[in-house]
Amino acid sequence: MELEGKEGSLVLIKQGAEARVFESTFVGRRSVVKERFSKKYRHPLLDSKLTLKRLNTEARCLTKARKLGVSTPALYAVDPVLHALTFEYVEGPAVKDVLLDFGLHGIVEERLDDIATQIGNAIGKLHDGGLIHGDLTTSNMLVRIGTNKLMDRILAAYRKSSKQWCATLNKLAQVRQRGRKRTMIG
Amino acid sequence: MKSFEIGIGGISLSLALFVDVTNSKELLELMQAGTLEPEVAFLNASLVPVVFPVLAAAYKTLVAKSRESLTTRTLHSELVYNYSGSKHISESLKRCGISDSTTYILAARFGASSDEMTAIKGHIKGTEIGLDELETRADRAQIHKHYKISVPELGISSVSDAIICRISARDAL
Repeated sequence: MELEGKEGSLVLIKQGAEARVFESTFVGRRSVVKERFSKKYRHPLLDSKLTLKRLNTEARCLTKARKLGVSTPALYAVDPVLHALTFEYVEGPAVKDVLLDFGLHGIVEERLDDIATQIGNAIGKLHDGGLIHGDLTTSNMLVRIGTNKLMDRILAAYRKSSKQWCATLNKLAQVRQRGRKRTMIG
Repeated sequence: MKSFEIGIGGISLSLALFVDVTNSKELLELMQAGTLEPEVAFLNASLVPVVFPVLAAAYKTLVAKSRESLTTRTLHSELVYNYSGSKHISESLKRCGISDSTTYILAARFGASSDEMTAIKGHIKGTEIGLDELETRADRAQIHKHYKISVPELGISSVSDAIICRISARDAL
């Protein structure tokens, strides 16, 4: 699939509910293009506004996350017309694949520890900065040689809160008490 | 001098780096009068640690041009504007472009022939050096200040990536 006027070819890597992810080149560098598609069932005006808003929010959250010291792929370009984001291509397996590999060939303790620590640190920084990941799964985290990068799925909404950690602990205690699902009363 | 393929419409960007430039005032005047031929962009080279962010700005510029949505008057002033992390046009042109006292300049032109590049070099009273010198001559403090790059960010990113993120996300903020 070729985008009009652009030389770089696009190779589809993945399709999700919100967007298609392609591999491409950006000024000679390997890159990833995430193109949000429009939902035909939506009213066209609403659809375009929503998609654009999501696009801008993603770009904003990514820059905020970086400022907080969370490792993310670098954003190379934002296209408001095509609703596409171009990121740096991060070399490395998804954490999910690393863990699956551990399942097959045995656990490498230090590596596991290292990854777990980095995940914890990254999420801690995000939450302290008022950002919520929104889709925290191991398939959304990449391990780049030497570091751990949280992939682009920061759909996040901003929330103002100062004592995040206490709130989270309290919530955790609550959930532990009553079990994960809430009661169907009320 | 080196040319880079930007990837839109087959247009390339030619870059040339100069030190000890003595006629910035003159260059600025010619540019503002619109009489500088051929059209060229002058970037404050102290803000350029490596070529890649300039190419990203060039990409953004060509996309805007292809959609007839330039924010500034010319293609080359747009390149300077797009190198900035700020949406404020005149401020960006002043900071990322040259001033009367600039001595370290990166000249850029889209789709330049070698004759045009020679003409451009003729206008600049300075010494041309290789683009590989960008890294050592960049003013890190100025870059960190202009792009508001925090210390935590530097821990997880190169300066080049930090600049590119700001260039690309600027209009989404």
